[in-house]
Amino acid sequence: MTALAQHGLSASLAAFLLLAVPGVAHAQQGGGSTSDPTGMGDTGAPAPVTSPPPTAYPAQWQVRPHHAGSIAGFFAWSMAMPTGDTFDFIPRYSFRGFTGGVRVFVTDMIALGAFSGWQGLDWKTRRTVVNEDDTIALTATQLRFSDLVPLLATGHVVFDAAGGRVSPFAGLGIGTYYTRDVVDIGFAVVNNDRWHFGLAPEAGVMIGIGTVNLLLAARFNWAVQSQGVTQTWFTFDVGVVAF
Amino acid sequence: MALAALGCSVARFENTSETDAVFTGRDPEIADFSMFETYALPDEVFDLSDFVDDPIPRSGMFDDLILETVADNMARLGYQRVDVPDDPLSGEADLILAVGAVAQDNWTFYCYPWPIYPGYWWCYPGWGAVPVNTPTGTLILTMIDPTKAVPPTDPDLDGIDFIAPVVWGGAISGVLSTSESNNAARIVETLDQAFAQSGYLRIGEPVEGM
Repeated sequence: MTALAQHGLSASLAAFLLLAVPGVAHAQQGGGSTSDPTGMGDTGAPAPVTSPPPTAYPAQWQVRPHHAGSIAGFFAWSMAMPTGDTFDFIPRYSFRGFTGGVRVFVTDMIALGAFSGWQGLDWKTRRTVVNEDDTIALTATQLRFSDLVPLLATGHVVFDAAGGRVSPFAGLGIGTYYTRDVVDIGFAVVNNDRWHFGLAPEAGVMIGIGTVNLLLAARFNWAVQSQGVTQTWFTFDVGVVAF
Repeated sequence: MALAALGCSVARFENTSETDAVFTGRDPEIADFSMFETYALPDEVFDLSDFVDDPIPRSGMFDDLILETVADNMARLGYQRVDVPDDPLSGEADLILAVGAVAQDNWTFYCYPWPIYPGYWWCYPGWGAVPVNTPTGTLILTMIDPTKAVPPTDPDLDGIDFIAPVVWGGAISGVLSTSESNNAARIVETLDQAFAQSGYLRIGEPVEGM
């Protein structure tokens, strides 16, 4: 039996093991290969006949989608719960928003990246507004809108659980927020737009489901005071991550 | 539809009554209206069409209702109604309350399909702008102190015998409805609101209206 034939037999055995061991089979979906675990490709030279069995490699390395050098892009549907000044302006949960961004893994656990998105808040209220010295009063239905746009650099620590299929993470975003508040009373529209410095602590999890990684995340957005207004809100993301 | 069920419908004006706005203001120098006891209400809703662009004819069908509602509110606030004096300086009326009205066209260009924020004037390229007319009616309430009336010194006011300081005023604006009964109800509600949000006008117990 030639070395090449021996290699083919070894590859067939490895393929059988891949089908038989679910944890290893998932590694193949992530781009790994048991006959070429380094990802260097076929060099044309006969492979060593002493190819180690797949289970000789760390299971997490085989299964988890992230490792040093990998790049993840994500897109999520964002929901928001206003707090503080933002809640005072619009005390209503928002289902209108999205978030997208990228994370680059500088180590197996540390990712740096950036993200942006948009959250739209809106509320209708009818009320009487009186000035401080009670000389002027206006009763009108107000349509209130807020646009909240983060532009943040991020750093995350990403862990592994469930054999690498689940990747909890925690991180912090830092950068700027653009916010705009609009009050429409029918015959007049008032706009106030601002730029804020902002921070966004975040925690979440990536869950490998087949070839898709589901993203679940919760984030607190703190757009520090600008023009007398501090915008704060929680964001809840449901999305997908692609490596 | 599923998104709407989740609360994704964006806030918007859903009927004409939601466009009603009631604005009131008083002379900052007069915090206590108890110095007044009587008022005169001209038995007419003055047509203010000359003061706006694109006026549209007013039917006047609600004029009696308007004047009646104003009189009821003044009576509730404790004012005694008297006849309009021939001489404003006679002291026969502490206040004169005049009611004016105007209706006009209001053309707005709405952009579709992006009606998220009504009132935006811009459109994305290629998306049509639809002209929409929202004819609006406005009531103006003007309360003057005739005892402080003086002849005008401005030559532009030639022909006017007196000018007097406004001690209180109100403006009620709203999109006109095609439903007469709806308009009548809105007139009463908004006029009541104008007086309700001006609590400083109260001078005593309700009196019998004239």
